[in-house]
Amino acid sequence: MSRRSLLTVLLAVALFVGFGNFPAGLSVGATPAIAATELNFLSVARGEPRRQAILAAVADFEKANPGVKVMLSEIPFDQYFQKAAIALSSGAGIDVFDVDSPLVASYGHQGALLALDKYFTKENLDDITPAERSITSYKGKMISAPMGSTSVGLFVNVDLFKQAGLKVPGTDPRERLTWDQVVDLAKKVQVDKSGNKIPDVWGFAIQQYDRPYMTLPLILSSGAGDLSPDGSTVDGFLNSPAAIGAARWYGDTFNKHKISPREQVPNLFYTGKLAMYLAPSYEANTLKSQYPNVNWIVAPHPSFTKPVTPTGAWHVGVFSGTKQPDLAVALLKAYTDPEPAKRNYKIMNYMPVRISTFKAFPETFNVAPNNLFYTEILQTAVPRPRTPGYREYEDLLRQAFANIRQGADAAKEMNAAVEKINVQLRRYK
Amino acid sequence: MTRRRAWSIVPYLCIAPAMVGLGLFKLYPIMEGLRLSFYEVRPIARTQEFIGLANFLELVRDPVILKATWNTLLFNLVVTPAQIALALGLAVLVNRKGRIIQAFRSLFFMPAVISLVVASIIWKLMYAPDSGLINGLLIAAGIPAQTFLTSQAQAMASVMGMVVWKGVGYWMVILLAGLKDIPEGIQEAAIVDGAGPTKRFFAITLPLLSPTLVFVVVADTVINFLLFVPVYVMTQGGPSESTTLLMFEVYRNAFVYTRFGYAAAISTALLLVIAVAVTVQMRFLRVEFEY
Repeated sequence: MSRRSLLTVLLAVALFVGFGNFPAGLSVGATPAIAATELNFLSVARGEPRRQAILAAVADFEKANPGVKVMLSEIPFDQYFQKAAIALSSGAGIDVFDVDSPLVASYGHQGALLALDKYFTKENLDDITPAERSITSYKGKMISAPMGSTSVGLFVNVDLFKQAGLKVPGTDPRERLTWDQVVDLAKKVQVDKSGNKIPDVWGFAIQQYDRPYMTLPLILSSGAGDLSPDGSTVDGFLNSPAAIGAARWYGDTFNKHKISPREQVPNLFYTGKLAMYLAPSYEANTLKSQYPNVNWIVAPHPSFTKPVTPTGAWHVGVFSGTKQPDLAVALLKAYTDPEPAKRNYKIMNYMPVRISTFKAFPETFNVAPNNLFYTEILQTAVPRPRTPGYREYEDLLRQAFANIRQGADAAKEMNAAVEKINVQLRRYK
Repeated sequence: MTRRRAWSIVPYLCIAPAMVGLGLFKLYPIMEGLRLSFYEVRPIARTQEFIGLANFLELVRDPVILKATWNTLLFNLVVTPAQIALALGLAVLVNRKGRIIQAFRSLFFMPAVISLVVASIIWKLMYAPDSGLINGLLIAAGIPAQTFLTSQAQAMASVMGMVVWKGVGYWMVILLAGLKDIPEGIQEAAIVDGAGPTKRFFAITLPLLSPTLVFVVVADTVINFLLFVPVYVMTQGGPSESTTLLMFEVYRNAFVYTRFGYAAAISTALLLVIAVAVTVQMRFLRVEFEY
């Protein structure tokens, strides 16, 4: 082939390939000026009726600040992080934005979030639950404000337990089951009428079954840690004997005990085909509003040696490059301060992040299951590790748990995950 | 300027908008990607640090990238020939007249008009080991349930199966158009000379179809090297990186790890791999004649 035709081929391939969808536009660029009377709010699209909470906050803010217009962009969850990264990198179209709570440190490390300390009084801060408050800061500065939280409990189908002649688990934190007890109960309550080894009623399942949000409490509850105190390594933590034991227990529920389906089957608990469901607090609202025929209770999150529950949901932050920091913080506070927080709870039904919200609704938080979630948030909730490399950490740990779920050896997978996570963590030294 | 010279500019003016578009939307991103592959890019902090060949040196030592490179080559070595062989077979079968044949053409082409995302989701559900349609049918037929996407042994083959199914109809239509271009007179002359169907296929149809085949082979190869959606939707590269492809690693490094420089280096390496593959194909599939 002549040099000319080789060049032609290379050019043709280059044109055809076009680097796929590579984001070349993410290079450094000048920050376009933002109109003095416009504020951009980038939010996750939450649909009705939940979006009414943010609309109410925007309306309150615009009323208090005549002449300032909020440009609200509601973006679907699966596109949100890419859109936020692009907006932050270009510096355009973003002043205030939703921050997934485990990513606060990541945004903080990259200098994307404005320090909020001077805008919050001690009284305001003391109103935030301790676990959630710990998430808001990075390197000693408050850089986000929490908007909603979650807890997790063991949802139990009462009718299935009665049909199996089993005692229904208690709802008091003092009656917390161990994970081994959960396996025993699941084996007894599981039903396979047809005998085809695909149960008609499954014993146990975890919602978001490979996300660290749900799997890290297994590790922490076994007595292992999830990250070194200086944030530099996971070696000796995620691959400690206790952590590997917890990961092995997780894999056994799918492969040895066969009490959990290896793929997520939607609506299993809602349709009476699952006896125990480890799921976030918002599932209670779904069950109440959409599946009134399911007879359920919420038992405390089970544990190995010490009780640990997941927590954390959405925070709100102000872009450090905003041209209107005071107005942007005012908008953030119109959405997250104590009074709007009460309204948010009424509309969105997320677990509150403020003590004042819990106290404002005694009729809700003094009765099951919310009294249990309230107790867990105050006593056993542990946020995900606060590291700038959390997205990598999450992705790699998630892969390890996905592999363990499919039957891979827990020790091998956890050791491999540790190696890969440490490579990523070194980038943030 | 003479009138004749003025007219000679017209063709260049006509193709200028297309060339500007190509430059802006294809060549510029490629050059920008090439430049970024020499930088450590921190998009949110909006900084770029020149690091020379560090991304490429990391690339050749990264076990995940090496695994993804092997997977990508294996994927192409299996999927591209399988798609083209099946597409060619179907094109020959439906290269005749009749209403039923038209119905079959539509049926075979149908997967091509389904969104790749939708098709991937449907196949993922069908492959589900505990509740999927395929295992349901296997169990009903007395065959043990298979692990499909959930085991290292079967995951890549399962993804390949779905991709072959999705692409065959599309390439069948292109090859069918090529078959229609072959003058009927040549086939008729061969029949008069006593050539049977097999002899006619290998001695006449296949050689005369080679210009179309070259296009199909090159285009299918490039598309399969750049495949991303089925892996993203069905396996996320797992289990244990058994289905990770280079394009998926570009995505993962760019958008999950926000390592745009490293992702650009993978893209550059992938471009070179494709260029080599296509150059080899062009060399061996060179069309020697016209009709």
